[in-house]
Parts: sequence; C-alpha cells; structure tokens
Amino acid sequence: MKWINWNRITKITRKYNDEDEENGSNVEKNKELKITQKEIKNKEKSFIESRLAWKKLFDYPIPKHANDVTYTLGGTIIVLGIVQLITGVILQQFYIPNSNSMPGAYESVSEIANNVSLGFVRNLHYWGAQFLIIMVLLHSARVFISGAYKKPREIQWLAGVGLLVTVFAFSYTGTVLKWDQEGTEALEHQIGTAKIAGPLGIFLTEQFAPSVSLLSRIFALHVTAIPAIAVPLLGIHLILIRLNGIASPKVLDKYKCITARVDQKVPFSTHINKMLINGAVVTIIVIAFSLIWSAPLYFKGVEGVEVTKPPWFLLWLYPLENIFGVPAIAYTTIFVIILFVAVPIVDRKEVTDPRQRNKMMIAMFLLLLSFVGLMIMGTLSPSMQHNMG
Amino acid sequence: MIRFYLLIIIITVYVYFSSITFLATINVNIVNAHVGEKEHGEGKSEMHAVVLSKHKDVNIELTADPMNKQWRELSSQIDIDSLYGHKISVNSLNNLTHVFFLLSWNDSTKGYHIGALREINNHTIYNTNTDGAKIVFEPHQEEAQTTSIATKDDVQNRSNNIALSDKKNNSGSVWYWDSLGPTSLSVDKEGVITKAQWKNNQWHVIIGKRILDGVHNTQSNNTTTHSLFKPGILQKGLLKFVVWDSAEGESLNKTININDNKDDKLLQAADFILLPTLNIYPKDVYLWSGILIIGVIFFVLLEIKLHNGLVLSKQERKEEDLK
Ligand code: HEM
Repeated sequence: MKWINWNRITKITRKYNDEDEENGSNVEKNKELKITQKEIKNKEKSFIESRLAWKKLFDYPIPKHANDVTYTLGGTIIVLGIVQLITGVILQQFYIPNSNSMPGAYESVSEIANNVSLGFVRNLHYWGAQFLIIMVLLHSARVFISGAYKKPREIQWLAGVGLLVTVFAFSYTGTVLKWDQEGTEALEHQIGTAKIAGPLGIFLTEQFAPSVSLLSRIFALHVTAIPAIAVPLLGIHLILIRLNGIASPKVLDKYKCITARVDQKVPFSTHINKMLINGAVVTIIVIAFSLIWSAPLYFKGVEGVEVTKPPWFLLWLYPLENIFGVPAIAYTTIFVIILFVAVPIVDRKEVTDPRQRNKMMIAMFLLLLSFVGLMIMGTLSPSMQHNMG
Repeated sequence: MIRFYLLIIIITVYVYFSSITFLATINVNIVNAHVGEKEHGEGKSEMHAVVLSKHKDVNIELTADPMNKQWRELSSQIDIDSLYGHKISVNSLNNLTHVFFLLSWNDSTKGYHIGALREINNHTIYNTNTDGAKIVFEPHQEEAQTTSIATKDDVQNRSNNIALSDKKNNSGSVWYWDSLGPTSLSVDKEGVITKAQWKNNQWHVIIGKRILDGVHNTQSNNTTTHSLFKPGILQKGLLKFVVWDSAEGESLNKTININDNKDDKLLQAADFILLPTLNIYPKDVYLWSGILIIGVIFFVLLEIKLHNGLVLSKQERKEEDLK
C-alpha cells in the first residue's frame, strides 16, 4: 500500500489553482498536475474503502520504531494464535473428551498421534503452543523494558497480564487433555491446589459437578471458556493500542525534563506486513520442529502415581513444590500475578530509558533469573511423589 | 466514578461467593447420590497400593543395600502390610529387560533352622524353616488393561489376550527367596535372581527376573515381553508380598497355597506398573531459558539504542553547559 502525502497533494493543488488564475501554463506544471490527479484518484474511496474503511484501519501513521522486530512480537503472537485455532479445531474433531469411556481421551490422542497427517497437526498444535508461550513471555519482557506499561497504557498492560494468564491456562488444560501420565498428574496437582483455595477452588475439582468427568470440563474450558475470555481481552488490548498509539521512548534530559522521541512516521500497513512476515517465519520454525520432534505422549495415566515432571513452562513451580509442598503452587502463582499487576502501579515515573530505571531493571533480571534458575533446578532434581492432601 | 467501580467489584465478588457456596451445597446432595450409586454399581474399584517399577537407563546394580543411591533416588518406595504383621518396604527398578524388587522388613534374627526340605511345583526344593520372602503374581485379566491404544484391531487383540492367558498359564508365578541359600547373587532354576543382606535387624532382599525373551513368557506374540511386563500398563492387584520369620515360628508352609490359605486371602494385593523411560530430565528447558535470556538482553540493548538519540552525549552536554 502506498503512503499518500496529503500535505503534498494540498500544496500542489493550491499551487496549480494559483497559477491557473494567472493563466500561466508549462510542461512542468502539467507533469505535476498529472501526478496530483493520480493521487486525488487514489483519494477517491474505492468500493472496499467506502464500506470497510480499509485505509482508515490500516493506513494511519505509526512511528518507525514500531516496525523493529521486538515491537512486532505481539503481531507474531496473533499469527501463532491463528495457527493454534486452526490446528485446534481439526484436533477437536477427533478427540474424545471423556476419561471413563473406552476408547476415551487417551486412546483418541494415541490414534491422532499414530496417524501421519493428524499426528503432524497435533505436533503443530504442540509446538505452536510452546512458541506462543515463549513469545508472550518475550513480548511482556519487551513491553517491560521499553516502559510501555506507563501512563496511559496501564490498562493495556493489565489486559496483557490477563492474556498471559489465559495463555498459561490454555497450555495447562491442553496438557491435561492428552490424559497420559503427565496429564493425570497435572490434574491431580490442580485438584490438590484448588482444595487450598477453598470455595474459590471448588470449580476446579470433581466435587463441583461429580457426575461429569473432570476431564470433560477441562476440555470445555480449553475450547470454550478460556477462548471466550482471551478474545475480548485481546480486543481490549488491540483497541487500546490503536487509541493510545505505540509507546515512544522518553528520557529525562539534563534539565530534568521529559523529552519524547519524535520518530519518522510510516503507515500501519507496513507493520501488518512485518507482522505477517515474522509470523510466517515463526510458523515455518514451528513446522520444522513438528517435522523433527513429535509432541510427547506418555502411557495412559495411572491415578495416584507421580513419576513425571510438569512441562517447562510450569517446571519453575516444581522445586518450590518439592520444598514447600503442594500449597506452594497456589501461593507462588498468585504472588507472580500480583507482581505483574503491580508493575504499572509501582513504577509511575514517565522515563522509559532502561538506564534511568535501574530498580525496575534489577527487579526484572531477578525475576528472570529466578524463573530460569527454578526451571533448571526442576529439571535436575529427581522426580518426587507429592502429598495432595 | 471510583465509588461506582468499587460497588461493581463488591457486587461481583458477592455474587461469585454466594453462587459458589450455593452450588457447593447442592453438590453435597449430588455427591451423596453419586456415591450411593457407585457402591451398588459394578464400577466400584478397590484402591490398592501401587508398586512402581521405575526405569533405569544404565545397568541396575545388584546391591541389596537400601541406602545405595540407586534405590534411594531412582526408585520410589512403598510400604505394604503383609501377613503376620510384617510391614514390607518395596522398591522396584527395571531396565526393560529385567525387573528387580528390593524388599526390606524387620527381622531381629538372621538365623535359620535346618528343617525339612520341601518340593514346590515339582522342581524347586526349599527349606521350610528359614526366613524368606516371596512375590506372588496373580493377574486379574478382566481388570488389566492389555492395550494402550484402542483401535479396532486392538479390541480384537485384547479379547485374544484374555483368551490366551487362562489361569493355568499364569498360575505358579511366584518368585521365592529364602535364607538357606546363599545371600550372595544367585539364580534359581526358574531364573529368579536373588541377593540378600541382613543388616541392623532388617532383611534387605533383591528378587528379580529377566522379563524379556520369554523366561516368564507363556504367550509368545511378536513382542517378547510378557504382557504383565508391558511398560506403562497398570496391572491391577497383580502383586502380593509375603515374608516369614522362622524365629517367630512362621514358615513358607503357611503361605504356600495362595488360593486356599485363609491368611493369604486377607493379604492385600498391590497394583503394579512397569515404567518405560520417562523424560524426567527435560532438556527443552535449556532451549526456552536460552531464548528468554538472549531475548531479554537483546531487548535491553535495542531499547538503549532507541533512547540514545535523545540523550545528549557527555561531549554535547559539556557544550550545552558552556553556552
Ligand atoms: C496473547 C497474548 C498477547 C497478544 C496477542 C498481544 C498483542 C499485542 C500487540 C499486537 C501489541 C502491539 C505492539 C507489539 O506488537 O509489540 C501489543 C502491545 C502491548 N502489549 Fe501485548 N499482547 C499479548 C500479551 C501481552 C502481555 C502478556 C503483556 C504484559 C504483561 C502485554 C502488554 C502490552 C502492552 C503494555 C502493549 C503496548 C506496548 C506499546 O505501546 O509499546 N501484552 N500487544
């Protein structure tokens, strides 16, 4: 899409009109006139434009730095989200959301995994999820480092935290759905953790609806409730980005005044292009991973037995659970969510330069190191049986 | 405006709590009805202790020392109540070719009494007045899941399996050890491998067997592993453990006829599962950690670069100050 310089059109039109009044004419002028007519023609609303306001939607100016790779992570996540949606809908056709029937959940997943093309779809769904999680973590790190959660973008950040929680909820429920040993253990931990939350947690235990298999309800969460929460959150997230614009760097200058960077402007459509290209690159990586490594599927889950470890994005909770017991899962999760929610409340200064926000940067690196450190501890520690209480 | 939001929050929290409590009270009734139904229904399954045979990639060390790292860290221990008030600690490890159990129980005398020899199943001679242990395998085919993937063929296979493994084929699966024999590593006629150690008033006994290539195999399909030892399939109520202490007047005699002896009927059976290799040291953690750390460092550098045009360099600042 071509970026129309409206200033130029008005200027040239005005120049042409002025000169016309003087009755002067030359080749140069005609040339300019032709260009202007072309541009005016562009301005005339096309069929699509008059109905969908396409250009209004995609051609508004955004600062050039919004096209840096780091600022396109959000868009890349959307592309991956679409991959997840498509593969998820396909898998859903072949999945039996029942743990008590024969064949049931595990048998249907085994069959999906054993079928060449469906197995590939399952691998795509699995690796897509892994990359989605890492990209969401990276995106929130980018937002944090660029101080983009500050006024007026606090709600954007909070909607983002909501999205982060839904992404984890998707991945967690997805792990349970395969109903292999890892899935059953995850569910048992969920029940153990939910018990601690008392009446608030009852929804996540069998007691809430004893005549329905908990797995069926988890499936319902995975395919209806969680998307139903994620989509409006994403809507708020995106609308607010449109309204507030992308954050621009701000520094505290030597007069102790805030100076904002005024960047060159490019049309938003260039950002969409970037997003699609980056999304395609990540999707190709996901395809490559799916061709090389299958999504894990252990043997059918045996209740009361604990021999596996949680998947990596929950593995940081594992050493804490080993040391402090199952309640640690609930408390740590709540603590981390509070930490994220607190960010825009705690740090309200306008500066965004990482060098002028030492405390926040140190806090971030501490959180990152504990996350990575706990994950590695989780991987190295021997597997343990926990008391679900 | 703030008051309005607060009101909404309070109402939401109130509605949430009251509805949850309401649902919880209804559910008590549903739960009761459900439980009642279950007790009468056939679906009622007993809860057994589960003996996990964990997988060890490298060779299993045949040491009966329970403090050995292999038993302490790799296997998971379970305590099982047995006859005569004995409590047996059971550990198990496998490497998919052999499975080994380590049984430990209190016994204040290592001594054995030379007594009458006795023949069992026409082939093995055991002393009846010794300390000893046995593991009884009693497959419950109706309950055991013989297949993990249910395709049409599998359903067929499953019924074949049940047909093949009739009681006769599977009876007599008893692995013995007794203190008359050497405590060092030994293999009996049936291929049962044993090793024992008496330490701190406790017996620690390894009992194991090769499970590949049909030593224990009565039904040869394409796979050579006996169906009881198919990795990852829970065998309900498969195992019973019995130990006896001669100093207390206990003997193998009393435990020999597993089906007739009343005491044995009281003996609780344990579920058994032979675990295949598990990804217990997941490596993908390093990939994701690496991406995260590199990503974050890259972001910091990029943001610094983005902010650079704005901040005056030292030189510029000096010039500004001079003006
Ligand atoms: C499903 C997950 C998410 C999606 C699809 C998503 C999507 C996006 C998109 C497309 C943008 C535009 C700028 C960019 O691409 O970097 C953006 C910006 C933003 N996101 Fe997200 N996001 C998600 C999760 C999060 C999370 C977890 C957080 C924080 C905890 C967050 C906080 C923000 C903020 C504050 C902005 C504004 C950044 C700025 O103005 O520079 N988002 N998001």
